Amino acid sequence: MNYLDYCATTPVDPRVLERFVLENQTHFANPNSQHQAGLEAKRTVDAALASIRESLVWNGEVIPVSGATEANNLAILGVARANVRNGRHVITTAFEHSSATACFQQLQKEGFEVEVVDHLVDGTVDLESLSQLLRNDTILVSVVAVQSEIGFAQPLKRLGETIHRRSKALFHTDATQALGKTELDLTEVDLASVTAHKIYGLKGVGALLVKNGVALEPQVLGGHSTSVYRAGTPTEPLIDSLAYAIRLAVREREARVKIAQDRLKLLIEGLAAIPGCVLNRTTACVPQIVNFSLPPIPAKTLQTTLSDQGILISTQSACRQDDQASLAVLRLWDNPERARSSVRVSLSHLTTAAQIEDLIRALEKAVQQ
Amino acid sequence: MRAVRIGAMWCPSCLIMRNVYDKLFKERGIAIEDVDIDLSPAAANGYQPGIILPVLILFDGEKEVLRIVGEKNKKEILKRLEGLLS
Repeated sequence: MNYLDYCATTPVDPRVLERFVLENQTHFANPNSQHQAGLEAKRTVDAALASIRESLVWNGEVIPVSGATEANNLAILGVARANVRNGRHVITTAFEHSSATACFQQLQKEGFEVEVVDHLVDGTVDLESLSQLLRNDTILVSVVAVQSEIGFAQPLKRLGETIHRRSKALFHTDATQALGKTELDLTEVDLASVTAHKIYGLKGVGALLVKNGVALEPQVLGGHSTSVYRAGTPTEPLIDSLAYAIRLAVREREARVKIAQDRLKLLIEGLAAIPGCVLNRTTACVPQIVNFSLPPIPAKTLQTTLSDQGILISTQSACRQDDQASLAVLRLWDNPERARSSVRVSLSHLTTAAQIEDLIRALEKAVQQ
Repeated sequence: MRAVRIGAMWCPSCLIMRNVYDKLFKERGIAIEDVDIDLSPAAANGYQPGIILPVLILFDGEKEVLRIVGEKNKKEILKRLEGLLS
């Protein structure tokens, strides 16, 4: 199998898996139980949360959740609903993950005024447009740190500085695709969503990072657990595995990125030699995400053709239905044919040069057919 | 006149266009029926929405008189509506 879909999900790092299995055997007690085993499990959870704070240089709370979708729901709905007395104006971008966009559509139905900030040609937020949109009653701005289909990274620090200088709004970022792929500077961020399965951790665990003093309405009800903002029995082995995956992602980032950059170079060279191939890429893109089109081949057709040969890539974001054009490509390049044939290859430190060569050969063949 | 708006929860263009359509049609006393392509696929596909969302369809009785696909600005929509709502 030639797996080139690391933005959809990653294989579990054997070190993370081994630790997860061990934790299940040693700390299986409910961390909310007041007996010896429960207290020991609680200590392990606390140590894992402290580890996440240290890895991500975060002084606030870390709320364990089921993944980035839940983290985004808690951040966007939780902040808006808890801060409604300060205003009903919220701002986002046109490039968010479906879980964020869905929350903003829900807020529209609840009577919030949702505005979408303009973007520059590289996909990043137009700071001038953002400054003009910010108002006294703006309570939240949410911007995805690295866009999942095209791969452009936002300047989080500059965005946060603008938001905080011009308003009292809180700044949330969905850092799902940024963590491990690029340097993650959260100094001007108030809330951040992360998940384990994009960084070689397990599926079913993520976290919302929340700065101290942020008003947040819980979205999963049931009283105090690991956090007052999220009920449910703390999943100690999963939380511990998340902390470990984050530590590895941060510690090994530079080495991992270097390999991805080498593979990117090879891929770009190969794509450039394919007649009709168009790169859907901007100067702000991370090296691990490469979006391209082979018009008029529909994205789904190309994906299936490659999949039949054991080469696994994706169309749009994995969380969307298949028969739609890429709205992100359409928005940035205003070309429906390009949007319909847009596919995404996502690279990793696990990707080999031979896998890239294999992909290029298959693409050349697909174009000839 | 009645309007049917086909969209999806995850669709950013639907997010952008919601306020525009809500305001325009409310001002003209036309109700909008929302159909979510994921939650009600059979109903949505009955309108043959294509691959770009949102799709706004205006009906005069049972007859489709206007279809607007994707993101459009207010001026363009008003131009398309010209003559239909007078």
